[in-house]
Amino acid sequence: MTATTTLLLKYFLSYACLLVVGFLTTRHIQFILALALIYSLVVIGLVILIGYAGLVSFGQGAFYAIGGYSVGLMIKYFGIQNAEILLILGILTSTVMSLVIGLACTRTRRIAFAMITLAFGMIIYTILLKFYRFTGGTDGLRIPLLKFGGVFPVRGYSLSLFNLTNEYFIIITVFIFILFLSERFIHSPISYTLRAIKDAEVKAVSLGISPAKAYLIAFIYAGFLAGLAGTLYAFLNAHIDPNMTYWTTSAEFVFITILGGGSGIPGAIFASILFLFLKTYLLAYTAYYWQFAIGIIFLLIILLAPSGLTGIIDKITRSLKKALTKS
Amino acid sequence: MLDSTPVTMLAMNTLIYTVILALISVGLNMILGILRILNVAHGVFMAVGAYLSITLVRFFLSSRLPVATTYLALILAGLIAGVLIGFIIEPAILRRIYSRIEVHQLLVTFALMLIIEDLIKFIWGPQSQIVTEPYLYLGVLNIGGLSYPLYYLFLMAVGYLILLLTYLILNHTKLGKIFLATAYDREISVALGIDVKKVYTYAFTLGATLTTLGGALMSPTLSLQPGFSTDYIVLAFAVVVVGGLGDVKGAFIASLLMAFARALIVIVIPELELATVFIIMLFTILLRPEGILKGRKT
Amino acid sequence: MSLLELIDINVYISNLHILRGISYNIEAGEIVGLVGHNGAGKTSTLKTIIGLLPLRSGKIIYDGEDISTLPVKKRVEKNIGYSPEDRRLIYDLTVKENILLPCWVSSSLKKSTIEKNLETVYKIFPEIKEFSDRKAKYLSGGQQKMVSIARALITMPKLLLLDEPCEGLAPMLIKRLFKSFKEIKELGITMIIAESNPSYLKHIANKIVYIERGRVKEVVQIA
Repeated sequence: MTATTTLLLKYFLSYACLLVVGFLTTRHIQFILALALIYSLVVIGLVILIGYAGLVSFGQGAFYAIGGYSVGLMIKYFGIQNAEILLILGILTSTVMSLVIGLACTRTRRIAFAMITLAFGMIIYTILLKFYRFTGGTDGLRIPLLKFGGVFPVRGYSLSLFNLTNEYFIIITVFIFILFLSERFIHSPISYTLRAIKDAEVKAVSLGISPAKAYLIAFIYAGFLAGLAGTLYAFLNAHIDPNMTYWTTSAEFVFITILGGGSGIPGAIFASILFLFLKTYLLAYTAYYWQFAIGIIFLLIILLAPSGLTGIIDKITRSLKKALTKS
Repeated sequence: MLDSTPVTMLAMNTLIYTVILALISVGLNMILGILRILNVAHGVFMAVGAYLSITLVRFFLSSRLPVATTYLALILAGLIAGVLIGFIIEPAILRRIYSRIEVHQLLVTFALMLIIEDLIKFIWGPQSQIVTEPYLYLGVLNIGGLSYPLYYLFLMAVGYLILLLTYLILNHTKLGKIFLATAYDREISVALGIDVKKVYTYAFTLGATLTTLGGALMSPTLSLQPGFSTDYIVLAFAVVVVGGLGDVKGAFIASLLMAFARALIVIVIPELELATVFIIMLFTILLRPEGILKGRKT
Repeated sequence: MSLLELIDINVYISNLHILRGISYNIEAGEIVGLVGHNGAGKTSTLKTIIGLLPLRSGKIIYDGEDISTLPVKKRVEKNIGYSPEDRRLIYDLTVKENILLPCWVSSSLKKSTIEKNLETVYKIFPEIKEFSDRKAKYLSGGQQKMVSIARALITMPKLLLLDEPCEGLAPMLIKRLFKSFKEIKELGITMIIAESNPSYLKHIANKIVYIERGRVKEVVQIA
């Protein structure tokens, strides 16, 4: 089997798994899983920014919100109802904005980078909040039911034969595609450049590598992913609000990234799924104190298992391997 | 005839907002400068101070003590909250993360924020709380057509006094100089016999107490809701960045700058009020990243 | 009984074996030179003695007591003074404050003793007395080195560790410093002086320990 075939097989199997899971579960669970996959898009972007470029962004919520609000505002002011156009517009707006914002942000490093991304995230928050006549303020915007190609609604049960909800199907399809795209990114020259820079920026510059350009590309890719996630969120949730870019949301994304180990895509996906299911069930169990539970869990994980889920998974697979090879 | 009301309003708002911001950010900067940790939970410390002050004031009032004593209650609550937080959290949690990478430290203090926020909900309940007696008791002063609640004078007097005391401690006492040495060069401080562990605890407690006092002083002026502190912590971050990371004097000056900018913009373009702070933060990072006073530690 | 015994010291920094089985003794009242190239292990040896670097194996016996696992603060209390490489002053504090810093954290020194010690220190380094109220950042490199040594001296330690005190100084200044080392010895203070250049040390040291790549190459007795 060639390398390409194994790769395609991997994606095919993953897609098949997701379809099967959808087939076997309720509408509610599919919703949570879809939301988890949306989150994982943002987190994959952060894995590249943090794990490969060493830049911790506390402002991905900005692009998340830009993606969502592009949809909302286009519907409100231009009456567009085609899901495919809105998807493209959402992606386009957030990608362009990440270029603009990235030009400023990628001039900084470490804490300054974290702070400047925080600043941008909050500036967008205040704009969305204060210009409420346009943006709906704290109430946000309602997103009506949109259709792909005029026939396939973004939410619904058109595929009831397979027990799959429309939203779930759409999101897992986009997700698999992004997975493929991101793996290509990670194995592209850009990613090697990033790693070289992360280890020794001065040395990389002396070798003729331009750190600023590499950082900007990574930043734009992460912004693109967050914007896509925000657009899909608007489709899925039927409602968007400025909280998408409040600093705690951005911090949550970083949290999930580190929970997943910070440097690998599988970790990012598992962490997102774990986090969202945890949050949903904790919220249902205790409406007031779920933050306490999540806080304790995260505290314990960071204190005791700092390499996150990836570390735990690694440890488990290693001890499994040991046990299997012994016998 | 000069209508001085906008000017006096501007001045008053600036002075009030400065002292509040300064109480939070000076504490945050102390912890950043000496312990090298950006304490995301600093805002929720302020909330603890605020909530505890409500409890203490209510206790004083229900014990038939005169309203005048509630001012003491506010200050006491701030002090108790700060000392408790400092002596519990630093050894229990912070000590374990000094050697960790910055992201982990940030996330630990973020988790701490989540935990304490819900603890507040658990102890004091999720509904909004207010205790108005200290605020109303002092009445209002009418100047130039506007009425100024005199409570704000108390708030400013105590607040600025606390800041002055902190400045004196940090710059003119042996303890302050030991703090400075530890912040500057941890290794050599250890080699000279400084008990760096104790220094960290004291510095953290002092930083936390400034914030809890700020919260306590503020509580009679607002209706407290759990979660209100998330707005303040991010403002404190902005102040700290503009004033220079770790630079205590810078934090005060940046507080003044931000307070003035905000008070000004509110008159001219009210929608940009909150955004101003972050825009200033943004430009500082781009043009003068060490902070406006060229902060010495990063 | 020797004042300081290093027995088979092994020290690692980030899994790099920096000190490999170092052993030698220091007698009370001696000046011992520790000579070697950059990276040979001079700084690491002194840091290990004061406690900034932990031992992987081996023993340190000071004044008859095994201090191998004693924390730094306790070792400082046993009156070991340390002047690090590259001065490491607190540049925003005044000269006097820098010098007195170890006294502020020492619980055992009386105010009168501190004043007496300060006078002694100023006698040895009169050049810095006039700067005593100036911030340390305004002094020249050589003066800052004197402040660093004065700081290590202020508690009148039994054992004084000097890491490259003459690095980067003009020959005249080095001669001046070595004169003060003689004065310090006359106070009864034992000294270990780490240097890359042994030529000046040979005039005042009782013995010189040559160290290379973390090992003791040879010990030359002079006086």
